[in-house]
Amino acid sequence: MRQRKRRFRRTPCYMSEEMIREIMVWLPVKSLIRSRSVCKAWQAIISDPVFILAHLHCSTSKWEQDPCVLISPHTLDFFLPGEQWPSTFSNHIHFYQWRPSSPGVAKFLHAKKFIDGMFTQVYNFAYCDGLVLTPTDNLLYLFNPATRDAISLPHSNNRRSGISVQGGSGRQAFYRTIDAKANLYRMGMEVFTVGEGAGDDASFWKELPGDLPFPIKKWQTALTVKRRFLFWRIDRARHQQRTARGLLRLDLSDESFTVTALPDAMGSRNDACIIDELHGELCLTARCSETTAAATVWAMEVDDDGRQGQWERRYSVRFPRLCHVMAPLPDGRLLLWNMTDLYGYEAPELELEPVCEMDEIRYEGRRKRRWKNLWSFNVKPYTESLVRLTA
Amino acid sequence: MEVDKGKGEAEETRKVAEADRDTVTLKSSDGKLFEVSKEAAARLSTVLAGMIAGGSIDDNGTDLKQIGSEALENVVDYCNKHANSIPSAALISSSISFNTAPFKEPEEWERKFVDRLSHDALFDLVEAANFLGMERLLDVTCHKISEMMKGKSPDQIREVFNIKNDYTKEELEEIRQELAWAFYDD
Repeated sequence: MRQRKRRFRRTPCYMSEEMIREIMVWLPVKSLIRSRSVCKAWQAIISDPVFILAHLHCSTSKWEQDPCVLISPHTLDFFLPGEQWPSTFSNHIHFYQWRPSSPGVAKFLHAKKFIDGMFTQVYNFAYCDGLVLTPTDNLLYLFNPATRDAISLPHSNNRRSGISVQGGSGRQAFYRTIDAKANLYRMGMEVFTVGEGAGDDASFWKELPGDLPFPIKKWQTALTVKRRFLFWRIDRARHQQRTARGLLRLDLSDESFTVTALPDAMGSRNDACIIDELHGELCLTARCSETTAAATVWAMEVDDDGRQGQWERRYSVRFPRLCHVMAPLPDGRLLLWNMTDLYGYEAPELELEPVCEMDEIRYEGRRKRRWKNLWSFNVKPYTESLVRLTA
Repeated sequence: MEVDKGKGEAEETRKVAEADRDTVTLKSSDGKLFEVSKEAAARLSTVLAGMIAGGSIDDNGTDLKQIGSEALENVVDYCNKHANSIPSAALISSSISFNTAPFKEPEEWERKFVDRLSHDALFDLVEAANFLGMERLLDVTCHKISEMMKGKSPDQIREVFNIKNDYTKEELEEIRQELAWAFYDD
């Protein structure tokens, strides 16, 4: 009884700011955004880069225990009969969150409607720390679906882009290639930086000195590994000697390029592969020259200083097409994505088992419904974050 | 200061017992004594580990003036339960594959442990865990409080944390309009 009285005299708040931070770090982004209206001190905590980074770490740990993916369905406004390649792409970009624990439904996160005719197609997303870079055939857009923020990057009509969010400062850097005029074999690179610390570089694309050591393939966005390394696949067809093969790596700390060789077992001619990040490792899926019936998944360690290990053979997946590696599932299986389906895969060498046909998903939002006029999907392993977008 | 044993022989056995003692005695702000395994205390609390290593543990009860008896009882209870719990397979495997995962969701027994606490007891336990440098207990209790906050309105949260609203009516309205979507429940 006496204690209770004492507590009411505690002012002005039960807990120190330090404790409030310890509690808030566990909250989902939506709750945090709502709690901005509690008081000014809480608003300040949620905007603090140190807190944003701590929250991201917590979010990442939660993901490892209960993984989820971001699904973005690309739809047509309507199907025009007889069209081989549709001209009716929807200018609506939607994001949903899907968890293996409830495979039949997807949770609505964010949607943005762009003016009709702004773009006629959406390409492969690039992803880092809860931010999604969405290349279209016109502009590049950057989304944080959890905070429902979106910006467009100026003069950005080029799809070979990567993204990286650096540290707690909330600085984001984007890289895109530029083709040298009148020389098919030469390719340069430009960087665009937004956020704190971007300084004078904040409003334009800045060219990096020198050409890329090797040209990279079209239609691809970079894979970000450990927030610091961007990987692209090298385009042998655009290499003058036609011998280049492997992955081009950009180290963001000093903007230097290196080449990562493909696994020897792929054979010397084959360079068809898919790359993903899994637990901070670089993951590569391709066919071996000796076993064509199955795809092999290799993984390579990349340490914080950029030193890379050897390719290690991890899985052999019997499936006619190459799949993206999404996440390890809590039951020990591996979650894979191909086209419209998500699969569970059990090591070492079993058939794939479909866990989700995305075109059959019901999504929750204002009403439960199915996606109409589906054309394709973008799917990424997803960790929600408070990282702010500033253009 | 000493418990009255009288004879030198008794003194001798006491000393031997002290050297072998595998528990430490803690004293709450209101003078109650609690025993806890030395090993668990040293493993779970950086502050107690420091005191044990530094020899500043008092056999008649180490004074913890900042912690009330109810909170200290919970601290000791947590230490004992922790000592008896076998880490789950998931925890072991995750600690191998991700060497730097500072945030681990509470395990089943930890959830049960905090679920039975009253609101006041939970808040006192958070402060005790913080004071004693018990990182895991701090995570578990903070996680529980965050769970309690999830469905709550800003008004309810202010009440729980005894926070004064320092926004003007206009400012609040502006935030609510800008973030209207976040106020709808999932």
